[in-house]
Amino acid sequence: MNRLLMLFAVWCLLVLPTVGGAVDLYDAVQIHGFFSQGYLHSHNNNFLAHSRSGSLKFTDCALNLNWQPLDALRLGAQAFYRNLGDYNENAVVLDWGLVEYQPKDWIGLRLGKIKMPLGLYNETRDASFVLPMVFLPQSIYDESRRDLTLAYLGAGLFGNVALGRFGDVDYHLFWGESSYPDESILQESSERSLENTIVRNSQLSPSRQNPLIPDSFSTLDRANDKIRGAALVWNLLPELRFGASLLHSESEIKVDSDGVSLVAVETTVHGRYVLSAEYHTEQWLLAAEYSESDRTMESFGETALDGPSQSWYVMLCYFPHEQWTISLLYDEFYREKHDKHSDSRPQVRADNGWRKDIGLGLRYDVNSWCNLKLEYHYIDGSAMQLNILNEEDVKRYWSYVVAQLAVVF
Amino acid sequence: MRGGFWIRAGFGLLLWLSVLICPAWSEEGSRYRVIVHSQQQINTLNQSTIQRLFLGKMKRWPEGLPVEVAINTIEPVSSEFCREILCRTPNQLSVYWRRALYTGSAMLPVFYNSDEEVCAYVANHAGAIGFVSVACDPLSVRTVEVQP
Repeated sequence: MNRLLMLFAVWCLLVLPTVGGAVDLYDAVQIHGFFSQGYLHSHNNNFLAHSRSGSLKFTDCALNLNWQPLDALRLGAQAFYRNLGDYNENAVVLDWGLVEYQPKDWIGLRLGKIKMPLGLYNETRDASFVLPMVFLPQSIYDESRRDLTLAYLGAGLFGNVALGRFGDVDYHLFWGESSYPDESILQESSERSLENTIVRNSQLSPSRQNPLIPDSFSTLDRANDKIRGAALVWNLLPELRFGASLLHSESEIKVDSDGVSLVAVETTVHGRYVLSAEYHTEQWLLAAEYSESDRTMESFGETALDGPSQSWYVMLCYFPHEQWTISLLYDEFYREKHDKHSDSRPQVRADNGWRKDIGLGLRYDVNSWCNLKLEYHYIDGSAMQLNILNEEDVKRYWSYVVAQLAVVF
Repeated sequence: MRGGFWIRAGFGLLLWLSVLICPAWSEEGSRYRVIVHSQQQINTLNQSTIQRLFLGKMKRWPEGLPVEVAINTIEPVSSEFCREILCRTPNQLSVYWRRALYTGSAMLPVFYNSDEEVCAYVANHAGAIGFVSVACDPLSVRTVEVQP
């Protein structure tokens, strides 16, 4: 990673002096942004916030600056503030910041912090204004673990290749690390899980205890995931596109116990792929995506998870009028594709292995820079819930309503 | 098994809908003109090329000049051009570009709400392309013929 940062710095030093005074700032610089305020109210389980009693802690705000000093060169960055329940970034963070050099349509290079292409929509997950529903389908675009796939720090090759009457293909290859902030809610969740593991281990008879699990720990550190991946989108027709994306990642959680550093959890996502299709007309949009994530997780030398998860959804949007959108979503997630009812884990409830979401949404575009959304989701299954949001047992059947106002400029 | 059924059903429906492609473009009766800078040596452009130009996928003209897109939001020319040539509504085009902007993929093209502004922009930018409902000054812009 240090090499990438050094390359980035050298790149800036080489390029910036060449852009001299002959820059038409009016044409070459753009500043834009967006703001959204939402309201979440859930029944039975909390979702992303302490939403059972209703929560207005759902604010997003972004400001971006793009500068194109040369035809093939662009520098851009977006500052982002989010206040979503306990997912309070608590600061303005760099959402993306990059240097892009694209000498040809078919080849370009991006360096910096770059939105991760995964499925058709991962890059847009924070730009709610452009989405038909408030949240993307959670089976593939899990909002509670957003830090894992939000952006990568590294380098990406991208481009668009024309295929004549067979449309064109967008591609994006990337290497780097996920941007994983220390204050991420996942950090807190990992600490809570480890505490539970220690308690459970101590309650076992000595012969059944895992000797690698410490009695206590002072600090827990989750390093940025090492990632690499690729995404292809084939735009067969202006209204029809297919996508395929692949992600590989490796992560490690270390704990400090009595001055000794121990590897607590090692997670390897051998391959997470997403297959996508989207078709739209003037009045309809139909999107479907299917994903599996083949991963191995070892906790203190014991295999905690080994095998693929499975996710898929179908979303249908109807535009009866250019200002109105009615959306219907069916979304399924299974923690383990080959053990959907957790038969191999009798110690956990079966419904902890799945999440089935039916959603109905309404969007009203007030004008070209403001829209309102209202939607309802009914969910069967307690998978994908972080332990810190639901102190008591997570309920199998739950629901939530979300409303949001978004403006852009 | 049930998940597999829904996956097959979803993709089957998608393929079925895919036969309902964007209606074939016809120049007859069209009220828009596609214009480029007068120094551009281009007389015709096909629909596919225009789509790639207006969606930011083709960023350079064949001789290397950078493409500068001007989008006209005045009605009815905007709806007519977007629907017939780009196979999307003006709102869908706007969302397409905002998605690219907020994800760090691209800068926005210029949006104008009058034919005169689009004519002036194209006249003053060698790599510009736009669409208008009226004839611009033939000394400063060139009207290109749109081919299927």
